[in-house]
Amino acid sequence: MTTRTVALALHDPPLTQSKKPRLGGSDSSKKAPGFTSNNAKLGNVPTQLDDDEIVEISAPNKPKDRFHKGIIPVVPQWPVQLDDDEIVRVVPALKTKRFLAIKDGYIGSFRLSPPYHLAWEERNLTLHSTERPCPTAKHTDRIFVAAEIAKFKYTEFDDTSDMIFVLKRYPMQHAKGGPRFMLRPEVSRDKGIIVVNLGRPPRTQYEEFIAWMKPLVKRRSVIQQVFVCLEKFQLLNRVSDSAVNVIRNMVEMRGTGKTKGRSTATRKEEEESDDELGKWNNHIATDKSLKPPVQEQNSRQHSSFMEFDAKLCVPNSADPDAVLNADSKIELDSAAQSAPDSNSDEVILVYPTGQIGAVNITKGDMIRLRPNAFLNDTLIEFGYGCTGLYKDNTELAKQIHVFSSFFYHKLNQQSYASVAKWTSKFDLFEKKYIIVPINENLHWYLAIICYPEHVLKPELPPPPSTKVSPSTPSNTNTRSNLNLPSDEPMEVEVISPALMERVPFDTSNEPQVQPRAYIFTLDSLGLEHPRAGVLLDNYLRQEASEKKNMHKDRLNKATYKPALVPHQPNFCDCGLYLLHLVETFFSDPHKYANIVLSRKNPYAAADRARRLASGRNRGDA
Amino acid sequence: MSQEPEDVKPKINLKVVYDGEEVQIKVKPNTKFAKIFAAAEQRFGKESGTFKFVYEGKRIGKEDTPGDLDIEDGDQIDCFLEQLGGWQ
Repeated sequence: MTTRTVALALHDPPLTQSKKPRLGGSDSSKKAPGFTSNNAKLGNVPTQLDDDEIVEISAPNKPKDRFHKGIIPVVPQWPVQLDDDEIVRVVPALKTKRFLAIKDGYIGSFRLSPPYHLAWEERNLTLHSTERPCPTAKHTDRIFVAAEIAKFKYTEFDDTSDMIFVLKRYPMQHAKGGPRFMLRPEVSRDKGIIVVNLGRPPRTQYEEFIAWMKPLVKRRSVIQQVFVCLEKFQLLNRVSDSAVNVIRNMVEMRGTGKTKGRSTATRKEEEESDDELGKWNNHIATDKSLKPPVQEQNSRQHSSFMEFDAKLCVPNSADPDAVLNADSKIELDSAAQSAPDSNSDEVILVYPTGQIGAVNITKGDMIRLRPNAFLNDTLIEFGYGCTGLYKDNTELAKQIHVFSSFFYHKLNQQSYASVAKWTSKFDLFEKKYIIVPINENLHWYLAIICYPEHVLKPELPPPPSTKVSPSTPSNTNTRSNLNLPSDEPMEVEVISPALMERVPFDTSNEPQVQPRAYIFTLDSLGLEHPRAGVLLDNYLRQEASEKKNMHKDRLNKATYKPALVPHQPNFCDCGLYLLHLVETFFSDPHKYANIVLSRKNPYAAADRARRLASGRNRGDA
Repeated sequence: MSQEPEDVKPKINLKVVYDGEEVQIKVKPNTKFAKIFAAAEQRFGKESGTFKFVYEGKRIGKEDTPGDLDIEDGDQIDCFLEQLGGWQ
């Protein structure tokens, strides 16, 4: 520790030191003035040591000590205490004293695939393409924060999620101080946005970094809902990973001239040294396990892939800045809303390749990834289609059926008959969970059907504790004013006055999961969708009577319950929320189903907070 | 020459349905869907690329053929407009 602080004192001009007292801890402030004031006068400090290294350290920076003129020179103690070896070790640390590893990030179109780290000193922030400070970084980007950065958004430290910050450059700065890599002119304007995910950094370093940034940038704000940024990050990374792999494969194939088997192709890749591939390797995440199955593409698609090249990393869209700020309209917006150009339906990526029902991402879809743009059905399908639940947990994947987002549209507009054939190739009741993404009135929300097999079992008498006869006056009636198409009354949990007095939800009790089918809706605007509940319930029973030849009266109803989920703070992110909800729910479906079921009262969030507060007050009194 | 074996295969009728309206299209099993899409969009008076086509819940790619998807005579293909979602 001592070696470090002393070394810092050597290099830091006293001006900065006096401004930043926390920089080296308390002992630097004790020793530094003594030494620096000596340093100008006492040329003899290094000679005490007879060590070349020391001469180097003190040589470059002769602090002009205006502030410490009056201080009586004190002969510093430090050289005596140090071994020569230790000093040698200090030298490389001088350059990048403080750093944070970067988990993921984008500078404009350029993806900072790991390993990357950032370091900060004086007023510069530097990004290096190594895991930790090391002189051999291939790519280094220096940002002069005070002059270049217009806006800074960051997350408050929290050890439960990844830390993200966003920097927005002043528009004119792009050309001069911008990163030193090739970009096509039409995307170069996007590199003014730098988004970095730091993963889970150590608290002290992270806070030190934020404290260092704060005085340098005037316009700054705190990112409230980190997971939305993370979701967008993931979506982008998925697009870019898949696309990179497709392109890599095509480069290989062009090298061999023909389509080859997988093994040959990989071998070829290692031999391939043409610069195109080399260029791609810079962009490619080292994680090869992400490789999707890639098949032959025809030459027409080939050209489009190459064109896509510069846009590949889809960075402008990585801008959580826009995700977070409904009010800040970004110039890209106009581009996003402009009429699709002639080849906007040109296919850019097929995922997963070679399968029936694969998603085709087109140029038009890429526009939907821009800031403040709405996600469309293709991106939603792509988004949840490649979430971890298909890769990591095949057992779970078998238990899940994912309907296309058009399913509900068709069921709603037409009838059961129009979607009857959609389940002709498998038995829906063998699945445990059914995902139904719903798009209504320009809004995405999610319905999840749990345990549909219970529809086939005869109706049980409702447990008396949680169900009250429907004749009880309740807010249910107001909710079901929506011209329900069916004549059966909707089944909603009705809360008895006695239950209302309880704490809104208690997860302490083991929730009793009754053997029933459930329909949950998860809506990031906090709306309830009883109509969707009814439609899906009817669908399940019709499906059962058609496919299982069971009489309708012998079937059990599914219970509808709206789930409380985080609300979107703006008007454009519901697609991202939907993806996040799918991913979260299916990280542990049983647990989340129980959480939804164990909540007794479907209060709105604000209502719940008020109740909790009043409950606490009562408790205090 | 190469046309001969194709002609032997029977043509199939596809019902293309958009918003309750139905259009019949007669195709060979190895016709690429790109062609079918163009025909359907023209019939419904839409620009090309407007629709998403779905067969039994699965998306149809332009390069697929009815044969790839095991589509039989009289099967229905659904068209949808792009769904967008952000707010209400």
